[in-house]
Amino acid sequence: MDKFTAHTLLPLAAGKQHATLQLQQCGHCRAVNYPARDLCGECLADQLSWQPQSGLGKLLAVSALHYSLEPALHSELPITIGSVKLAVGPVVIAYLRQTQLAIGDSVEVSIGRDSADNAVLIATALGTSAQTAKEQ
Amino acid sequence: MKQPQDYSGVVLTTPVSYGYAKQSDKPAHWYIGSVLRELCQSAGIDKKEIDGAAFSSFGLAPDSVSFLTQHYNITLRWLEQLPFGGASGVIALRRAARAVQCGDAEIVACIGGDTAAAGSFRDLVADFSRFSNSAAYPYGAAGPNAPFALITAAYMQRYNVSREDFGRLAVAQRHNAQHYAPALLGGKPLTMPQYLAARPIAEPLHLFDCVMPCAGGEGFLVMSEQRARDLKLPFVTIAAADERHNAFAEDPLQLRSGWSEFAGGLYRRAALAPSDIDLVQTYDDYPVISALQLEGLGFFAEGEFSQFVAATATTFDGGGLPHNTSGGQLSGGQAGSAAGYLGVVESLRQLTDSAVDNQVANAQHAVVSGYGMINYDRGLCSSACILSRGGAHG
Repeated sequence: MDKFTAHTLLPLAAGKQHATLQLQQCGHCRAVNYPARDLCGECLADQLSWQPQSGLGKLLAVSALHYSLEPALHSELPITIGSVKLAVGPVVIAYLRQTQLAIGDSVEVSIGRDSADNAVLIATALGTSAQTAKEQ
Repeated sequence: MKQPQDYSGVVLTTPVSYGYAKQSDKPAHWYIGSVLRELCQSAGIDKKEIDGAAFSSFGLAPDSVSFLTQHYNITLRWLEQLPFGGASGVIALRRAARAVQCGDAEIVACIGGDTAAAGSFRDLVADFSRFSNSAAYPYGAAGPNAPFALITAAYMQRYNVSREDFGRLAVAQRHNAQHYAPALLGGKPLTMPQYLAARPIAEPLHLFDCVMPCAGGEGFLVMSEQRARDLKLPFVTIAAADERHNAFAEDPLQLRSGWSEFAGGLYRRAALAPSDIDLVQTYDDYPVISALQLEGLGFFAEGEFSQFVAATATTFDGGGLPHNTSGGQLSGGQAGSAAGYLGVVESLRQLTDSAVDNQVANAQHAVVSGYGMINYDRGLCSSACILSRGGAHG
């Protein structure tokens, strides 16, 4: 079966399993941009660079996926994802490793890896790191 | 904001729906060309008389619509490629009406068509847009089910909506489909217990909240009222139409879109109110999106979807507000870009009394709403029009 390659563009050094959140930020107007783009979505300046960001946010919505278009993910179903409004601005879609999370919960988003080693966003309940969440 | 001018003197005619199939080995070109042929036959004109075209398809690559002119040996003086997904049909009629009004073209064919080969839906979704590729698809690879599951979950929580409320729309549409022969799921009745017992796909979405991708084509002609009278074609007029792209961009989740912004002007220009509307066609890729359109277009107040569906029959023959009278996509299948034309075409049938078993009695005015292009977390395009029964019937 083909491996699932996800092109998330997120910065995570080879060999590393976790990192604090980084998102594109504009050097001109300071707006944090997501999804990744080519110039600032607010002021259109050509000054975006990946910068560390606070991962704090609120869960806007949760879904347990029971179907995936990628055969490589079928063994992991159901997969829980959520939509998170970050305090720094953007809304991100992230994996939820704690399925009891509910709309309105405070979460922290960081960068981790999925089962196919792709760098992805992971949201965990506030106070639990992605590392400990994975072990729960 | 300055209001758009009216569409006086321009009409829509000749509704064509063609070739619906669960799978097909024909390319999109075949579907669009077949609809073009049927439009000419149905209008009683030679293809030479068509001097403008607006086409929508997800399946033309590596071709663009300019190449279609050679495929079909047509010479045009006006041509549009409208990549607005489910908003394309209404946007096509807006563009085409202006072309006819201004003399840039005399007869414009507006056609959406797509095919469905094994694996083609996955291929389309896995490389749909740069934002989707990097920020949506990697999270479980659920395609459009994922963002719509998230929108549905938030809508249910915010407005205390139950699965049964959405089920009322889906069950009513299945009833309508049973009276529209080409609907691919028309032969399978759907009851509320069956809807509720369906397997989960992307919670809170279950099987009957999700459309079945299919192949098919939809089209209509835009011309002057005088030309339609000369050709003795029953026609429909455009009372008002509008569109928005990336409306309410600051909303963290899409619980409304352009309809909420332009509906007031739409009804004002048409000199009509929601209570004057006899039938409505929404873009129903998921029931929650129909709810957003019905709400944005004033058929119920914000947050009152549950009360609306409890009090209003949405079947074609229920005496309430007939909605998606041919079964919509949920019961008819989603034929790619053709799905964005389905609501216009079905409304033309209804307003010219050429629907067969699903005819709404005495329909004078229809609202058609469009929605499309999930770039990341929401559909970016919204459109709607009010169509009115014209003359030259029978």
